[in-house]
Amino acid sequence: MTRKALVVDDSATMRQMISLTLEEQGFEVMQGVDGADALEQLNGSEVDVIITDLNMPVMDGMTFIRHVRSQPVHRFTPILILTTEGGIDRKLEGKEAGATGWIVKPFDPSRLVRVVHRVVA
Amino acid sequence: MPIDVSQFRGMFFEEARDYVAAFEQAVLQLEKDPSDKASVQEMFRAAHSLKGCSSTLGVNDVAAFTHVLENLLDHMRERSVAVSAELIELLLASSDMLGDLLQRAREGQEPPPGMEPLVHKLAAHVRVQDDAPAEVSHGEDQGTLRGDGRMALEIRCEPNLLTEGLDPLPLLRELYEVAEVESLEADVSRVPDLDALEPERCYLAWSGVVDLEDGPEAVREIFEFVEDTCHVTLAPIEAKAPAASSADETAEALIQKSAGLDRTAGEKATLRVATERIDEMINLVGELVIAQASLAQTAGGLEADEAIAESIERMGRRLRELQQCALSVRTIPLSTVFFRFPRLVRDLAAELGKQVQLEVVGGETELDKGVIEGLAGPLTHLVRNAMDHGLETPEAREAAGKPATGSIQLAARQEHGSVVIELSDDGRGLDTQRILEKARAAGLVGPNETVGSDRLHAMIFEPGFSTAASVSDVSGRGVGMDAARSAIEDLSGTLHVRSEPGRGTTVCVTLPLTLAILDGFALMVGRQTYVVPLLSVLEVVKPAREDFSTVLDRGELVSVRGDVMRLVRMRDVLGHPPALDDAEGLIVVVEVQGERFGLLVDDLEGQTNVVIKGLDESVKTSPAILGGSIQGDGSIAFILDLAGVVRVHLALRRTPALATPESESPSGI
Repeated sequence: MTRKALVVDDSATMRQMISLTLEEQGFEVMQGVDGADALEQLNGSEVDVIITDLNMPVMDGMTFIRHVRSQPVHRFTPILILTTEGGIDRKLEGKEAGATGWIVKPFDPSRLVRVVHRVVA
Repeated sequence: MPIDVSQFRGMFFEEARDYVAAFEQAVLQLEKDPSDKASVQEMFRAAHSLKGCSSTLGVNDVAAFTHVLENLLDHMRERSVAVSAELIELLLASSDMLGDLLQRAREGQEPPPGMEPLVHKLAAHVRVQDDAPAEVSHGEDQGTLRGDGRMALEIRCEPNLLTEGLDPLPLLRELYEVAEVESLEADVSRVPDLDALEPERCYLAWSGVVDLEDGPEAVREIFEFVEDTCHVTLAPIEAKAPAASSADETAEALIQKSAGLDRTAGEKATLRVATERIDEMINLVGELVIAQASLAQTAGGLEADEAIAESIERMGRRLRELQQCALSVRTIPLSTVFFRFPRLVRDLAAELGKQVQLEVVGGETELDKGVIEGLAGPLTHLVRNAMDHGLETPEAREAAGKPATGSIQLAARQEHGSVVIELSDDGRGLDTQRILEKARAAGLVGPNETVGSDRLHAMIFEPGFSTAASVSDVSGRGVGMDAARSAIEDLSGTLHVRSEPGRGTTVCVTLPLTLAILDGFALMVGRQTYVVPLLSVLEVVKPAREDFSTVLDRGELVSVRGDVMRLVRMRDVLGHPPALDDAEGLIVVVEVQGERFGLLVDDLEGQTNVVIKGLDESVKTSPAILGGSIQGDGSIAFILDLAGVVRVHLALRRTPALATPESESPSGI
């Protein structure tokens, strides 16, 4: 079965880079331009991994993660934060919100692939 | 194989422009309202996204600059930093610098010399605001990971890792790939009794001995992304001095690595298609539409059965959809031109000593890319003109009982297949008396001729026409307004002015949605079909003999419901033999450069869509003809350039030898 990923970033360049990287890995990729849009894309359906930015208009990444994690279907869904922020406070906030892990930009496709394989069996 | 990120450079540069525009807009917003936290957030987001992308793509100068900029913005976000004029200038300079850096990076050039001083200024501003040390870098327990060779490994995870979406098993498996695992055992000491056991929690920890030939980095990297959930300690069994390395160096190395990517490597991800190819496609689709129309016509003549007629009709609908779709490839939002105006207005206001509030509406309205590119120049000029000549100084405004701050509105909207852009100011309005004096002096208006205010207003677009008492740097010396008009007309657009003394001026620019297809009005002159832009046609009337007249100064005139205008005999202009009876023809009222003309034509064919084709110089014999178009029945219709028609008309009047005397005698008098 094709594995599904949801990529959330307000930068179209980042979204495309991440999506293409995952598509090369055989993922079917959905994209969201911010948290609210991503929730709409998701619409309660299952995905194998979610990769999200934090700083986004309309709905930021933390709020988005809280929303997703509170849905029973996403209780165990891996959610990776891909961001330039790496401060310890933010990381703890992310953890509290329910994020699985943290990837600090600059974005390196091969690193993303490695991390994604660690959370998607 | 992971992808090569350099292919995204082109897309990044496109996107980066939007970020810089958003940044600049936010700075201007902050200047207006220094308490507006949202604009600081907006700036931060723009800088942040630029930094993220540029560092990934190895656009290092931009990455380095946005890093410093982001620091300052972060400070502004976190603390209440006073928004001084100096800070605004600094941010605007940063916005300009970003634009410049991106441009240079795109062309593979070195950063400008101004970058270093600006970076220092930005950094200094942060220091002034804050004497506290910079934030603590992450990963402080890395010291425990130093060393190599045989090591004692311990992995302790937080029990809630499962509901954080993490399954530890793949990580442990990967451990076996990067290290020689001598032993690894699960520590079950924290597993509670069955009745206290929560199935969604993980109570296990792991410990063992690993041999790390390639150093601890490989192990550390596996757990790095979850370092706050899984705590990994590696203790050297045969202790060695830790090597100097840090997470920052890792990041550094990554930047170095991506910087090594070929700068000029193809920019493939954005689908970039040469405009000519899109135009060719649009052209072909247009011809397909025409071919379908011709097929429908033929089928109608054959009284073909209903099923065929119906499928031809269906095909027509799909084709029109296809045409819309093809055309939309060329459209972009007007905001791509509008974004420059807040800054322009701000800088000009400072230069002119005026207070101005700019309102921009309808930036999402889409237009053909070609039209948009051609708009920047004329719109800029119109805005400059409104600032310079339209708006008064704060003192003059107050003296006139108006608020000291003038307002300029730039509003776009779509209206019946065209786009209307209105530029309004609440300034002093046009001085019609001065314009009339000037026009008389320039010989544009006869000494005893009376002129309506519409035509007077339109005169500000005449070449060399400027009523400003003093000539300023800002809007030049009367070149410009006419250049603005001809630029708009080159885009098949029209320009109108409304003005009320003391209340302000509105310049209204109407543009076709696309340049490739003309919404036209087909008319017959001789036996030939001609098409004029529908935008220019005001009305069509059947004239009576008594409507025609001749006035010494202005030549032949025609009256359309009491409105007297110049008569243009299209047969003369287009080189057809004159008609026997003027009253047999029709008058098409058009507006050209602000003046109404009555075109005398033989007949009408009505509204039509034509695909414009450029004509060979050998076929394009008259300045009145803009291009050609193939019609449903395969014949050619000529598209008229109305400004050209008027020019030919005026030239014929000056050399009456070219006109036939009989046809020149007005019928009604």
